[in-house]
Amino acid sequence: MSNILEDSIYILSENVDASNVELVKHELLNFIEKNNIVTLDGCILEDIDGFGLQLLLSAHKYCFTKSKPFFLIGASNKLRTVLELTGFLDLIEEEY
Amino acid sequence: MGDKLYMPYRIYKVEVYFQNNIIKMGKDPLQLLFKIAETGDIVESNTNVSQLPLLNEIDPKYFYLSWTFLLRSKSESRELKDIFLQYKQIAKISIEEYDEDYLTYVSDAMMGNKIGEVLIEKGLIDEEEIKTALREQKKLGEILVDAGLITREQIETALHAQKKIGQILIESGKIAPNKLTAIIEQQRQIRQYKEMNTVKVDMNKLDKIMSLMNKLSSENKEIEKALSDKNNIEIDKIQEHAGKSEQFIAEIKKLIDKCRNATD
Repeated sequence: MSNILEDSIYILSENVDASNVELVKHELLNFIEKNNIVTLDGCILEDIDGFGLQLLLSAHKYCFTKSKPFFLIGASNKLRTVLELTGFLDLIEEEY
Repeated sequence: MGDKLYMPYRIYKVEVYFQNNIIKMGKDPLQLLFKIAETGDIVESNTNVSQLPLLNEIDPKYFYLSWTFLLRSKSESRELKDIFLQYKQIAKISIEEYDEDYLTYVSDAMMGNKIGEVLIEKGLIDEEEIKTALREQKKLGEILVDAGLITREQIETALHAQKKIGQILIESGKIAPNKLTAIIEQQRQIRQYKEMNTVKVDMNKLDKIMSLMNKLSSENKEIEKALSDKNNIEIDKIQEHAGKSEQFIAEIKKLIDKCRNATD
């Protein structure tokens, strides 16, 4: 399933890993350029590896330098586990 | 495995640096991180994003992240090294065991004690010093220096370049955006705390309060005078001045309430 751009929320696909990071990078860049508030939805994201995590962190860093608020909502259990292990649990927006 | 039940916990600092071409080896860096988590409890996890390029510059097929973990484990250092040996092709892993004092400190923290409470218990700081520290509104730069994230020289450089400190730090990879956001939030909360505990007073009202305080003081002196001669206590005078004092106190209270409400 390819990534879906829906209104002002970018829905992360079922997997963000070494197999599709280049595609996701391209889509994320386009999305960030078009939106002043960057909201990513991770509710269907079931498979994320180190490269997927790295891409999200890079996007977060990029948004910060562009002064664009970055929100990660609807984190799946897998995404939550990875962010907890790596110390980035606070990236998840709990109330939205 | 049962023997480990009675073994003491040890605290390790584990640093992990991945080969940046790890993708060519078909390995996922997270596998190693999960393996580390299996060997004990991760007390603290710090991701180093200093080498991580921005999204528009990153080659996502290379790996730029590294980690430092504080690991609480019953395994000996030698055992951990053996476990991690199988990952030596993809990462450089260093393991350092902390001494007993540090273990006590971390255990206290893990028991749910706040760092401030632990420091008070150890006699390193008293309660008043903590309150003062919490109420103090520090500049962002000072908080960053105190947190050991940057040096004073780096702040000077940033100010000289007329850029926002946060922007400089992010660009140079000195700090992760989420960490900076947390510090800014901390600064905002301290400011909010100060504002909540500050009453801005209208100068006219303050003058009125001061005048009433003087009148109150005069009435008290009159009462003291009336009480001074124990053989001739002037009850009527005392009642008169006490009545005026009550009236002044009520007026002062009313004015103070007005000042408070004006700030709500």
